[in-house]
Amino acid sequence: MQRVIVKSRNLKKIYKMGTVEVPALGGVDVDIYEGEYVAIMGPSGSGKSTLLHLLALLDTPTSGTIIIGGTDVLDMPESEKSSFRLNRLGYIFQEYNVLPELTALENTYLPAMMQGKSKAECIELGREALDLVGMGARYDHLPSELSGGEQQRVSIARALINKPRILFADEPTANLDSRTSKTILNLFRKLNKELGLTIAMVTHETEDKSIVDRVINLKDGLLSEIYEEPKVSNCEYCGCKIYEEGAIVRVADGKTYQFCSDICADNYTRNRIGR
Amino acid sequence: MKGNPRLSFFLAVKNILHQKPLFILIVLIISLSFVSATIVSATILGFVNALNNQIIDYSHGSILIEPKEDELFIDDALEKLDKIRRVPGVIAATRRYSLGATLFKKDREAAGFGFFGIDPDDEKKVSKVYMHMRKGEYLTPGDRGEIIIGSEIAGRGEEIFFLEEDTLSAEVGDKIRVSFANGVQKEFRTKGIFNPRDIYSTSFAYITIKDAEEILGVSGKASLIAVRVPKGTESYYIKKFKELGINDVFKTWEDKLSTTAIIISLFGTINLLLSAVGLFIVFVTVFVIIYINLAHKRKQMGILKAIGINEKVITWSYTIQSMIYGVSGIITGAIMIKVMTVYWTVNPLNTPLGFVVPELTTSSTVIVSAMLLFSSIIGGYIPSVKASKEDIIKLIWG
Repeated sequence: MQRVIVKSRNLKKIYKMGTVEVPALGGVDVDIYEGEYVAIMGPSGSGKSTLLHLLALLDTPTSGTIIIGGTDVLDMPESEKSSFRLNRLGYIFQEYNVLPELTALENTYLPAMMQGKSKAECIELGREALDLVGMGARYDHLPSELSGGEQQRVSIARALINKPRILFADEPTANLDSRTSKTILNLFRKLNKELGLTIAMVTHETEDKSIVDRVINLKDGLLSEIYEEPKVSNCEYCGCKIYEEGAIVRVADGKTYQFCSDICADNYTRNRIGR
Repeated sequence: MKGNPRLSFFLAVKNILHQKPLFILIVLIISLSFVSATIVSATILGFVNALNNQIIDYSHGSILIEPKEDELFIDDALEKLDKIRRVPGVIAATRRYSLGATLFKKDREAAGFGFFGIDPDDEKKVSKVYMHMRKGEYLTPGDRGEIIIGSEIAGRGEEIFFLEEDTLSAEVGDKIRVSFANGVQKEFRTKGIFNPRDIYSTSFAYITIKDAEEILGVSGKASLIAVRVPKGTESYYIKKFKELGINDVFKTWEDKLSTTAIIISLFGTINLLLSAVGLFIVFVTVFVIIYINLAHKRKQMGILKAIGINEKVITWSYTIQSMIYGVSGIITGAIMIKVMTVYWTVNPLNTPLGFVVPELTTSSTVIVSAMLLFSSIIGGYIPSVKASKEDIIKLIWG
């Protein structure tokens, strides 16, 4: 029987905005098994990213417990949490968040350096990680010289260098084109299968359901049995398929228009509404 | 929580190298702050030194020996001079007669000036007035009936500090009638006009010691003996002279400062105020620049925290970065100041009070450097400590 590696019980998060309290998670119980590849899905505002931040120790819940690998991580002081993130967890951001002043290799071996490894070791491990994500030819490139997909792969290499037990990814393909997204997701699958890496990934792409082992659905900050298909429509300007929750919305003459990007929205406004 | 100096330094250097124009701008601002904080006190100190040196070089020498109370002259002046000159280390010594006199040229009159009888050859070894003859020539020992006057007495197109109406409007060759305090009147020919551009000697007039002794009716005496010794050794030599049995009144150039002392004291107060205000401005400027610069790096701090880099490493990284800014700014500022002082040594500032070479003291340089370094470190440390303790989510997404 598979072992539970991440367990949350009655996990609540309430954000305070001045005097107003905004509940983001209303008491979530989650079990993620070792070697599992799960997707956390749900409509916008359902609390997917909040849940991921809490599980990855980037944020602190208002109440509840989180146990990772048998350790109650919320009892830890900040310094231990930092060390836990460094040695046991990997995190991938939607916006890549690689440091602009460091090359791909330097960005990758930063966590290894923090572990006190020698420069030679750092370089060796960094290269291995970059090779694993298919960035072998771009070691010395700065992020400004890399495409979005390449930067995301550097971010994945950085998350993998210390050989974490769990990898958390927050909409890792949201800013990428479909071809690059597919490459990244295939890479996740490969890491999951070949290295036995546990992966928890927030996504709103319906097709991602077919790649993962299991989907954790959220709605209004609570687990939901029913998976709600995101509403799909077409960009008013170029006609491409868009998810309504991520669409750019413009209102003119009492009508609401949806676009895939600001550029399409601006072009449409100039060409049609502006007349 | 364990730090990692290697990683902190690595991040600091990488961050600086990535933003070279910003680094240059910050270093430039710090270096200019360094220059502005040191240059004012250096210039004021230069002024003070210039005034002090003028007193020594053109007026009184290092030590001035005056007659005992109730006595008009120093007796056995030649014998005493001889003794003084034989003391090892004494550069030179000369005797002078001080005469109260009013000068006339046609309808013009000049009074209240210093009037001295001097031995021109000996005087040249003590006073540098001979090097600043604007017109005509300096006195020679054989001169009789010749006078040289300072530019404040001569006037007539000379660069002067006081009013032209109070001068004789004299040229070289002009006859000047002098009425002495003892009632003697004598006419002198203007042999030269000097202007060392100090506030004292430009108001002096000199005749030869022979003329002075004739007018005063004395011989081998002196109203004062001016001695030149290395600066700062005055007390030592006064003790030595006393041991030789010279028991007249000894004064150092510092005792004769009078008006200059007021100016110097005023300068001192201004210097203190400007330095205090300057240092405060420097502190605030450097602190704000570094603070703002680091405040823009909150997201980066958040990313570092998220990937497991601990607070200590982050804090040290940005503190080291600020230290590098501070040290580079101080070094650049010191180089700028050095270049400026070298330039000013060759081309002193031409001021109404004479030529001034701004002088930098080690203490003021150390204080300004320490203040700049302190403000840089604090400017880097405070925001990085504050930010490193904030939530990761808040740092990355605001």
